[in-house]
Amino acid sequence: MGAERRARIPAILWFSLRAHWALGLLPLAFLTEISRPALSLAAAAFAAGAVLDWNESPRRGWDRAASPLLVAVCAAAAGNLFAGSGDLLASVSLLLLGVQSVKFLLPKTHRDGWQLCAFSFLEFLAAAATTTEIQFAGFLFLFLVLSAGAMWALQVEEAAETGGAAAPRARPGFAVLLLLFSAVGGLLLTAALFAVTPRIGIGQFLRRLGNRESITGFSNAISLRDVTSVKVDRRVVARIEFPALAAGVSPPGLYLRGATYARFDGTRWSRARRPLAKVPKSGIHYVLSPPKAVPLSSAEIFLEPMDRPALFVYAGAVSLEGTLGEIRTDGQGNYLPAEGSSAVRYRMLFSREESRRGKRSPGPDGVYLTLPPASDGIRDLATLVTSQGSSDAERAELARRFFLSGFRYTLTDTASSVEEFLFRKKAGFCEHYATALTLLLRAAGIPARVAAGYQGGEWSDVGNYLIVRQSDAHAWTEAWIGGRWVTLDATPILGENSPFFARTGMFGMYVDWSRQRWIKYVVNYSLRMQAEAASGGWLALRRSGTRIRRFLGMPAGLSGRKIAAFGLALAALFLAWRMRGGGGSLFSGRKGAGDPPLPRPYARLLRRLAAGARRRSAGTPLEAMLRETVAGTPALLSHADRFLSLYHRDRFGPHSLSAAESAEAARLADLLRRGLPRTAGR
Amino acid sequence: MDLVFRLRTNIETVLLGKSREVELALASFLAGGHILLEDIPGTGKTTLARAISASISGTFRRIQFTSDLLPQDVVGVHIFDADKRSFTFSPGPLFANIVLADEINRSNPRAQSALLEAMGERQVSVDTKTYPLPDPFLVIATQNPFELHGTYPLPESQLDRFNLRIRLSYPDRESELRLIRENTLASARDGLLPVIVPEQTRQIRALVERVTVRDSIVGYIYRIVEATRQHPLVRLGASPRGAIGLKSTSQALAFLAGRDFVTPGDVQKTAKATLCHRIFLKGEPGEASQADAGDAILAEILEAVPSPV
Repeated sequence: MGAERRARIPAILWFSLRAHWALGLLPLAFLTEISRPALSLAAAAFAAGAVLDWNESPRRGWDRAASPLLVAVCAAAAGNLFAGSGDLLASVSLLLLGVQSVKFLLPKTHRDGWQLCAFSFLEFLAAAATTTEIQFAGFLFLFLVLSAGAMWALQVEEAAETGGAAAPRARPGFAVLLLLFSAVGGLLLTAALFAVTPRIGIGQFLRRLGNRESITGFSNAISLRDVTSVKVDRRVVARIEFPALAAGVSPPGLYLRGATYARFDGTRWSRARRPLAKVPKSGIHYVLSPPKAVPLSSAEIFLEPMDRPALFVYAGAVSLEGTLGEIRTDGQGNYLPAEGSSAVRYRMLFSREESRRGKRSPGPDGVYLTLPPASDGIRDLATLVTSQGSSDAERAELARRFFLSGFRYTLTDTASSVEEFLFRKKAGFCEHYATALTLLLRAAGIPARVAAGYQGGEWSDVGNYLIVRQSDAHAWTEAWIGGRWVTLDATPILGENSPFFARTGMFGMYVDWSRQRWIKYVVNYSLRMQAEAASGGWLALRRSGTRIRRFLGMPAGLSGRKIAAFGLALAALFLAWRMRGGGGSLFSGRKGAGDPPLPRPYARLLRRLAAGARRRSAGTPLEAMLRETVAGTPALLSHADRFLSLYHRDRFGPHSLSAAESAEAARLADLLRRGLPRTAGR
Repeated sequence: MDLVFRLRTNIETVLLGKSREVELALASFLAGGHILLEDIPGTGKTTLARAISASISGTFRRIQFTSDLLPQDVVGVHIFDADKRSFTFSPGPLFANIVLADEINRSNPRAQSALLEAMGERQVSVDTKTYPLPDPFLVIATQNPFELHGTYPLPESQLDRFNLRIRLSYPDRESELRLIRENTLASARDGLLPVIVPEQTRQIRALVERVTVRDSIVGYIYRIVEATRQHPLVRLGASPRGAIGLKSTSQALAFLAGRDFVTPGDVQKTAKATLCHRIFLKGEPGEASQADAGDAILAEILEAVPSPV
């Protein structure tokens, strides 16, 4: 403690030790759902402790408060376990954070420093186990680098506390190297294991521990504001890849439907009350509608971790594929995943237009024609607008066009009811347009409903996928025309004029792309994807092989085996050449073969000396190197002398050393090796 | 051991600031190798030679080599004894424990060659008779570098018989200041008391021979010597005699350091003095830069040959 203690530690080490302690909290805070109050408490204790340490305020006597505080923390954790949340994980984390806070505030000896480092490491591991975020890689790197500094600082502190005589137990430089090496090696190893280990889509499990946030706007009932209130959020909801696209399908123009609403009571839309039925499964596919002979597109959807009450599908979805559990549907375009299911990735087949020749589905019932009470004005307007249409399709088109002129899109000066929107303000946002068009169509005798979901999204050229954000949330109309539900959107397409429009910059695109790959290949990577990747890679290999062969003009009959044999022979020749041609220098190859092997302590010391550039040439004997090295450190001189006499007697003397002397020589060699200055002392 | 220490301090009192050279010279003496001292005049060659000889209570002779010196002047002659009516041998100055051959390269090769047999076999053949030389027998020769006036370069065979060639450079500043302060031309430092008798010399030599040389060190010596022979710039590398000299001198050096075994450091310290004058470079013999180039080549070899650990 106290002034002389900190004075011995360079500022950068001091900070890196504190940063190391605090870094355990950071990933916990950012990546997991550990109790926020406990975290804030720990952070406050850390800040206070750091400030006190930096100012070297004396805290003598304070440590008497430590034990009662620890007892209180234990009690709080126990109370939480038995009377509070009852969650073991939460209680343990509370206990750990509490103990950590006490140690932050009231450290006694350097041992507390080591314990804090251990805590930090534990928290780091906990965060690693529960996170699915790519930022964790950054934390990992930072953590390892700071660990080295922290260890160094603790060594220095310990030495200062114990009187400074003890040689440091670990070389800081070595620790840094080791950590960096393990970071890189760990990454490579993980990558290799990742490629060969069968995966089960670990994201499914992690998701439950990770953060979940609910989205409003797609629940059983929505008011006229719900969808638009979602739109202010710029967060990504899903990223969608399109492995196969039928002709004429453009991803940004697609409507991703989450829910349909049939009943309107003047202010709120709610779902049709239908009994829920299980969606039938055929193999691994969920069959949403009977297969049709039309070109199909496929989409692969990766959802961000959020709770949602509905499953999003494109209009015209044919089948789904993924670990979705039991899906139920009300038969009206609403697909509800099983309770508690948190699907993160699924694949969908859909067709843009449905086959005309297909079996006609039974028409929708009267609920899709019901108007709220007192909507005579709407009926009159419907007659006025659609009277010239001869078919349902034409009338629907006329109704849609009605909104193209005279209406404006606004977020501020909005109507509170449909009548006000249609007849007085003529200004509103997508729910207004969708509701008004639906009611107009119903008044004109066409069954219609409101659908909510996401429209389009931002296309990423970097990774060729669609980024769907909350701001892409949308409501639109679907009308029953020609035996199917047709998407009709009355909302003017605003493009860049939309108040929610924001273009992602180049950098942002790359960041998003890395997240997409992370989610696809790390979080949600599954055995099936692995198999697909492997077969795809094998095919690509075969293709490139034939291409190379054609390029070289080789006959197709030249088998791969011959080429492999040739390559092996070349490698063997190369190896033989390397083994023979060792001696570059004139004399270096002629080291006496009969020399006894150098014992390990000597060899290590010699390597250390040679590494320090003390070995000018092969001819410099150990003695000269050592003497030159220790010339700058008088403390080692006597050790060096004693060691050299023992070493010489051992290696060149008439008799071998006694056991005690051998041990002493080894000990001295070790001591010298550790104590040698890093750089040449000249 | 004590004797050796006294011997050493005795000599160092005379020759200031030259402990390395003194150590080597002493080592060579203990190993039984002849010493060639080479440098420009006035750096203390003769002083060192005299100091060594004065410290040993054996017989000491000095031969001043001049251009008109004859072999008989060195080894001795048969003269007719009128009383006995026969030829009797009159031994030359070579019959002594320590012989100082001052300015050896001022004499012509004939007189120089008279030393060959004496140095190599420690015996002298005059006419048909052979006379053994006393034991210990040590030749300390001094010479000026070739380029100075009136010198004859020593032939290779002669050079090879010298175990060491030591070059005494100028002393360092401190030593020279002391030298200037304390000495006058008239009173040179001299008058050392002998500290050792020839018998003791023999005992010490026996001890030196028992200094352990491990196989790794022998291999090291061999690698160094072999490297001198294979170096692309060298015409004639070190001889086996040179290798033996290197080993023995290293042993003596280790003995002087109080050890009973040779380390690579001993070999490295000795190698320059024992091998440099045995390396003959390609090109014109006796060229001015030869000696320095030999030094450089040996340094290069010592750097390149891996030392045993």
